[in-house]
Amino acid sequence: MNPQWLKSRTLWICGMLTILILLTGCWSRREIEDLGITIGAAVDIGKETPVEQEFEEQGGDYSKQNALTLTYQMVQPGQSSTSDKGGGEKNYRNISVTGDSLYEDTREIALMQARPIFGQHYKVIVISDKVARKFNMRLLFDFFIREQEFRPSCLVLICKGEARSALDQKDKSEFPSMRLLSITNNRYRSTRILKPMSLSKLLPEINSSSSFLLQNVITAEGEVKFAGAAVIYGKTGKLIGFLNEEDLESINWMTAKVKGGVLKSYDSHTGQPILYEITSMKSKIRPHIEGNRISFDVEIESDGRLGEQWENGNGFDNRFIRRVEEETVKQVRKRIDKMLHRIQKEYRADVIGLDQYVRIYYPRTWEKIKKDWDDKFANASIRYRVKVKIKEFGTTSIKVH
Amino acid sequence: MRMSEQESITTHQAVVIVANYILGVGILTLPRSAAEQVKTPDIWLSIIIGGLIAMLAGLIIVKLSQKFPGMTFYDYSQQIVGKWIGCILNLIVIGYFISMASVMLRAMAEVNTLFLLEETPRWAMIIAFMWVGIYLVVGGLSAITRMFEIIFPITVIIFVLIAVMSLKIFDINNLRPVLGLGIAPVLNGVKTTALSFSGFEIMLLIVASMQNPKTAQKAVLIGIGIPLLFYVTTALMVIGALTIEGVTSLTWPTITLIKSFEFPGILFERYESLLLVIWMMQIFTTFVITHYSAAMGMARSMRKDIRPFLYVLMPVIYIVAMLPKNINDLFHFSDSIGKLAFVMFVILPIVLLGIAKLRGVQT
Repeated sequence: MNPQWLKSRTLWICGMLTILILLTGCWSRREIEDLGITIGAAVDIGKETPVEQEFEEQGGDYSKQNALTLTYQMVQPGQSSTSDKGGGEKNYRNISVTGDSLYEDTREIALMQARPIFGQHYKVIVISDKVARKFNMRLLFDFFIREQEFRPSCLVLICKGEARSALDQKDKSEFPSMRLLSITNNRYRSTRILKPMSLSKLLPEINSSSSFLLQNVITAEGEVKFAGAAVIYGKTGKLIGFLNEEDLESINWMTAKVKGGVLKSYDSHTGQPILYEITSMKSKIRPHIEGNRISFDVEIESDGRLGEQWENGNGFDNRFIRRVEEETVKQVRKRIDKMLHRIQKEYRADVIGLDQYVRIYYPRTWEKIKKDWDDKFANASIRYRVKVKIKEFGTTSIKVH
Repeated sequence: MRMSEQESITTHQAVVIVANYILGVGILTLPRSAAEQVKTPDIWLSIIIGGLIAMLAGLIIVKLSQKFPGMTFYDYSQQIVGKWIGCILNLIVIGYFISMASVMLRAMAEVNTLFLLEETPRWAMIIAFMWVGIYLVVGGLSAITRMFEIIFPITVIIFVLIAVMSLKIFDINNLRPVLGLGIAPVLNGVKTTALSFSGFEIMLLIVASMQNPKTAQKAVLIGIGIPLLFYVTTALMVIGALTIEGVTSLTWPTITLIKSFEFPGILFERYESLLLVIWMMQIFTTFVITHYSAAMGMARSMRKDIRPFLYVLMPVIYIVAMLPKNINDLFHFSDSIGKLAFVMFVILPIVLLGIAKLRGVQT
């Protein structure tokens, strides 16, 4: 064997081995098991948990004010796939930290957990109503919007009471954060769910200082319910009150942000309930500005079916159908009137989003009035027409002989 | 240096070079920088007008280059305005290309640090990027063009995919009203948007290498038209989903747009990685072509082989890339290069063309 050839061959092999070692990629890799995959966050008024108090007694303290308590919901690895096997074991874990900087709180978790927060799979942020009343939304959400790890697709909710409790539940088979997110998919079954407000939809509202709604959640004994909406006032960026479920429903009717749902009305003759089920909904909003007077014309049209009746009435008879339609319209008008009174007179905040229409139809005037839009809105007259058409009545109808 | 047969490029390749060069940082930042100026949802109109201006400037450059067949700007500048002024002009253009390459590198490193490689130091990313780049550019213009031809269709496919997906959160009301405040705000934004089309100046150099220089007009028009389509689509999608108020406060609005929707049930989440992939490829194309152009300028001016200059430029580009202290500095730096581009590639070619006509300079 030629020594020259052997030398070059050895060199070649050494070179290849070096390259092999250098090319094994994933330099800054982090194994998926080592990530604290976080799917939800809740912000409450600062109140230290018993664990934290004990930590502090033992000297685990740093300079801070206990302004906010941040709770993260982390997926427990290994158990998430075999959820019902563990019996009483929860497949998630909530960790609360108290402090005055949300980012610092997040990093505090790195002192307590083997797996620090990994936020690329965020689903929901729940804000306690007390926090929302106290802090401007712009400041409150600065961290969540700025941090590049958090997804802007994350859903924002308000919780009346302790936000942390919305991230906990009795049923151990699913993640509380996922449940909250999934409820927003039920808009085809209920008109009382607000169109999901994600961080990226929130940002323009905050930047333009306009009033808006956030879905409200309430909790009781480990269960949650979507209950109306919280009113965020544009100028202050703070929560000023709530709309109940029927108010929220009326707003959804006005803007036709409805995919399905029912509406119960009472027959004015018999006082018995009749149920109208929505199959489709359209609305047309036209603003008018004459001098200082602002008015809106809203046309709401809905098609649907007769869903349930607690009285005698023949669905095969058009006169009865027309009566049901009239009762439904009457009921809708009643609710819209109540809702309008509440937002125009009580809250004086345009949470319907009528400002969009003024901006589109009167762009130049809008530039002048956008600063005091909420006050202008409070004095605007809103005329509306509701048309309801019942197309069918299901597989049966009561026939009286 | 003689232009070999291999180095000549077809019309189709010229289109791809211009389009790939123009597409760069703009996809990620243009919606914001335009929205800051325009302040109404009409930024897509500004982009169209900006694109038309770029096309006009591109045509003038082509006209100028066609007067000197087989010669690049570096060769004929001295013929038009004399040895000394020509030399200074060449130096400025070389400086422009170096700065452009540096800005690309740095922008790449910034986005990577923020979204992909959190802990990798910037120098590591930049140096790796440069070495891959040098591997390509020593192969000459033909190697570069072939690489561009591979990258281009991938970019188009992924971009269309992402654009279609973002329809999920698109709301047409965010784009209304059209021209609500008149044409004035639109014109306000034209300066910014026209600058985002800088890249057509490559025609100063590549017309000389074209097999059929007569088709250069067509090449530059289509070459600008494709990025125009990309930019308008991006602007419509970003404003339609995030509104004009939202966009102005986002550093990288297009990435935020892609992160704003989810499709549960499809194999993956985090589609922004797809966008970052094509964006990185576009940054790479812009980087290599500017690196090559700068080296070519030096080689042509000194009538030497291009290779040593390619290597000499690497540390220079690296140092310039590391100069901006923070991201605001980087944006300012890139703005001032844009202004330089306007003077050098919109005003100057007109002046040069005028002088060439007056003095009757011929090859």
